[in-house]
Amino acid sequence: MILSDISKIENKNKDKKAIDVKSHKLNKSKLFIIIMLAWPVAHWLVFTLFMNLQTLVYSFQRLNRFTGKMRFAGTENYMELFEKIINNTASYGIAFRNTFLWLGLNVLVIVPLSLVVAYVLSKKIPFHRFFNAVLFIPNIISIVILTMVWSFAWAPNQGLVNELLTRLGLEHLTRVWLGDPKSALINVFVYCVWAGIGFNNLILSGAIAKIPKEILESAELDGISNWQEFIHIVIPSVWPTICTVTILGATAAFRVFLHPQLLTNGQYGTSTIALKVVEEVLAGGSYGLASAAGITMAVLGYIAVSIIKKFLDKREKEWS
Amino acid sequence: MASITLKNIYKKYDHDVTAVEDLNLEIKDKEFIVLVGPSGCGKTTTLRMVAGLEEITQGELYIEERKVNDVAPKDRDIAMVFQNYALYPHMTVYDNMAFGLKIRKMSKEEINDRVINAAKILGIEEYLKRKPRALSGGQRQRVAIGRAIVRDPKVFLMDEPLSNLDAKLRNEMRTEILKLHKRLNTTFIYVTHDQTEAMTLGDRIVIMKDGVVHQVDTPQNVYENPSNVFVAGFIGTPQMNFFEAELKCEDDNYFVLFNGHTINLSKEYIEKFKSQNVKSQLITLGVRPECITITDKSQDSYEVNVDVSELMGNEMLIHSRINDNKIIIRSETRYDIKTDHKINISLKWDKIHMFNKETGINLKM
Repeated sequence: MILSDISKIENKNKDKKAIDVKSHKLNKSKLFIIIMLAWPVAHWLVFTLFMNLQTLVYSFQRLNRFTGKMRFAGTENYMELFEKIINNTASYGIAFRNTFLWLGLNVLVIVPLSLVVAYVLSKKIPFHRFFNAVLFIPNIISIVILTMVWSFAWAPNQGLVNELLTRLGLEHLTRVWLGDPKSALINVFVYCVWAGIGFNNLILSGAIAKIPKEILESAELDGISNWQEFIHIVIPSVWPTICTVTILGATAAFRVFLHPQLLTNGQYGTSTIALKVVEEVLAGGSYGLASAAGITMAVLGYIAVSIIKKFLDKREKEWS
Repeated sequence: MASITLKNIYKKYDHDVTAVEDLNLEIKDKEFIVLVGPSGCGKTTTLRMVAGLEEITQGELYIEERKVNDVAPKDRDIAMVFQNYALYPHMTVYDNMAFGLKIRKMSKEEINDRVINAAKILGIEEYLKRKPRALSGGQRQRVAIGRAIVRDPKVFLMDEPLSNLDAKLRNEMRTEILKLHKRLNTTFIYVTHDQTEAMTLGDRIVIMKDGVVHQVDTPQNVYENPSNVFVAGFIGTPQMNFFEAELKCEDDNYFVLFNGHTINLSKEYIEKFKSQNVKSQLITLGVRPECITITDKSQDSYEVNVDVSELMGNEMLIHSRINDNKIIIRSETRYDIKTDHKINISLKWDKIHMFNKETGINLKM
């Protein structure tokens, strides 16, 4: 009887020790998780949540230039923004239009063009590795250098393009490419296409390379042409990747300001709302108006991206 | 329906790697031919050259009377079933089967008739609206075969189509493929590394190794008269047992010295050797596991130790040794034979194979 009691006590002690070890391990793993999450959570709280909330608050406030304090202004900033857009005051209307043209450019021009380029290069045409590298170069060189080189090439005097046109006897076509409202925006767009294809091409090339070889061979035996292969096999196969680059491109359109600023200083009809935000903050100190513009574009961007995503998801559902 | 002729076909890759070397093969119309061999033997490369997916480095390939070396795959009137099915994942089963026909601009009615008919043959009618990911491996393989059937091609090419299936399904599908061949009555070229598939499916089988064809013959002939040691070892499960021995020729008589025993050969062998003027030489003896019997102790028997005995149900496999040579014996099930038991065995000398020790060539051929 006594012996059995002793063994019971021993067993209890053993169980207690085992629980202690287990809880110690659990505490250690909890501590590890907390340490690993601390920085990203803090970063998100400060630089995402707080800053966005602050922007939202600013959008309903105005800076009193005499006292240097912010005051509640209701929807004044929003009303001023809409007025400026409608009346094209300080080119706000053009900037608004351009932002959506950029959305179209990124989604309807750069992504499809990148896909075509990636497909053509996937066919292992001569120098395909070279072309891949050349297309990606704009992504590893500073945008300041790139825009500078681009500006030199399109410069009115001694620029590569005008020089070439003159030598070809097409002098009448020469112009101040980046200083003429008729050509400046198109020129900035062409720059964006040139600089933007490389990244998408890299991502899409990876996706195309992952299409099983047998599927393409099976299609070849079915008698498919390159065009049919592109439409019926390649696009559906890499659709999830197309969705990703399209969404990335669409969201990027609402943040475009560096390209027009560095190429044309936002002049000659090339400005964007994002650039206007920068200008308002740097030049006028109109934090309220800038914040209202930012919030408005974020809302419009969300709506635009949601519509695009809905279309993309519909296709994905069909093809998955 | 078509005959296929491969004349002196070579396939060489960069850095002088030869995948297929001087391959000559005549495939008759409606024949079911199986290319079999270990990994890297060139069987799939050969099939891909017939399909047009791989360029022929040297030699000529004819489908019927037409030389097709430079003919595009789509114009060769062939259909291929791939090892991993190669179904279009974004299309339904119906569309997968209809796609090739749509590309060829066939009328909708004709396409529908062909797809429904093929689906009936393969028993996949109820899956026509499903996507491949919603199908099991066996069903996907049927769809892949269906996609080939609807094309009504002259030649069916199959590249290890059953290797991704489990053993039970593989057996079922093997029978299905045989039935399909009979039903479609067209030329089949089938690639596999599984000699059981080769033996059961092929009208003739082509055994390859290192890009070279070692034997082309009916399954029975390949099993009973292997052309060399490689074929003898590759075909048959468990594989043939090999021993070193000596063939002696004295006074117009031939006999074999093996493990201290003198074995007189059958008249058939002696006549053959005489006509070919075969001389005394070191040989490799080949004995199939079923040609070894467990007997009582006698002058002609060998006493061996049982290393492992594997009970297979209707038969048993006994792993043992003669001198240092591993030996496998196929016997009827006997529960009294256990590991480490001593047993006496005798070889069926009329069923043995003799190969030249150096060249590995069957002396009987």
